[in-house]
Amino acid sequence: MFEQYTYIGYNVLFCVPFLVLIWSRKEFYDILKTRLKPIFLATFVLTFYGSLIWPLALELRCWEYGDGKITGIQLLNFVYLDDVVWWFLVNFLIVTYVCLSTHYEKSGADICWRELKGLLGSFRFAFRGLRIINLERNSTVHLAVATFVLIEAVLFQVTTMEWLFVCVSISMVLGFEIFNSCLERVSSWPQGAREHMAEVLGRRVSDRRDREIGLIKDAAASGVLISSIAAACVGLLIFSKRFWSGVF
Amino acid sequence: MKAIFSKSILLILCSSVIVCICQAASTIQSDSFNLYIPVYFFYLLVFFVAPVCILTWLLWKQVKTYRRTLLWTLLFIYTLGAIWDWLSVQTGLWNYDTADTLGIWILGLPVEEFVGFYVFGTMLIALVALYFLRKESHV
Repeated sequence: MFEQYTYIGYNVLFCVPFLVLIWSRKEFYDILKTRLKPIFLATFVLTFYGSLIWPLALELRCWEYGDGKITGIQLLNFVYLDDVVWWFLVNFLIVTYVCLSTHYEKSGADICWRELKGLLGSFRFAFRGLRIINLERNSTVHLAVATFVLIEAVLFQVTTMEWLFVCVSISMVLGFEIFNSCLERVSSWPQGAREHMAEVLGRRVSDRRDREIGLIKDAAASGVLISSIAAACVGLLIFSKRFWSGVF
Repeated sequence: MKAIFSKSILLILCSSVIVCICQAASTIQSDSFNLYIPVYFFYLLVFFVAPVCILTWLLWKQVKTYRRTLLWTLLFIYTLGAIWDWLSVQTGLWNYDTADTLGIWILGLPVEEFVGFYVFGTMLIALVALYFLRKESHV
């Protein structure tokens, strides 16, 4: 149906997410907005150059487009609209990146390396944080159930769609459980601190805070309960029929 | 400014001469001599390699200062651009079946694409960006 938009679709798919990645970050936007003129000037000059040389490449048969894969709209009866879009988006992306990177490189920083290091660091912390699972009783129960469900899914050779639901359910329950554990650790009094805080804040304030914290912890646990019930329903829907036919 | 203008004129003149030679060569190939000419290679040479050489010469100071930026840009194009190109060929968006290439193919793409287009195409865009950014970068 939309086959003629394949070329433009690819252009948008490969360029726009990266443009959003750069332009939506305030730190980068503040730098780029001071250099809008050279960015757009370079983009337009290069788009114009590309629009001039691309039809020649097609004329020389350096490559050719698949049937019905491009819109076929020609600007000024000379260059395909799809090619102009390609040149504009690719140039805009690279020029934006060069503009940003040179700003940092001038001050001796390597923006790509900095961002990659930060990203890898986030992953390292996230994996390290998984140790909270074996510090809480409920988390280990959920982990055991998840293992049981995964083994079942392998044994019963569930379909791709069913795998999808199994994975989403497991990740949802474990994710909520981790958040719940975090919240409990943040809100619980350290040992011996309760009496000290009651002295500092006064008994009434301290009691009110306890009630509020109690409500927050209960609410977080309710979140885990709801996700667990949903996961149990998914498990029943997927596995009950197979158990039934296996047993009887 | 004057030097840049005169060098640009020189570049355009040189490019025009090479285009004429290419056109003539492709005519010879199709007509009588049956001489094999890698047209895509010459195309990249004229429209990408030549401008990149001239721009590198003009902006040598910026190229040296911002070499990390240029290297990262090339790395991105070699990863993302190659995937994009490969995907486009696999889905039939474009193909090089009709192209007169050097005859070396990597993952269904002609070697000119990897050396000529990815390197010099990217360098061209980056160098033009550096040219327009030269006032802001104060190099």
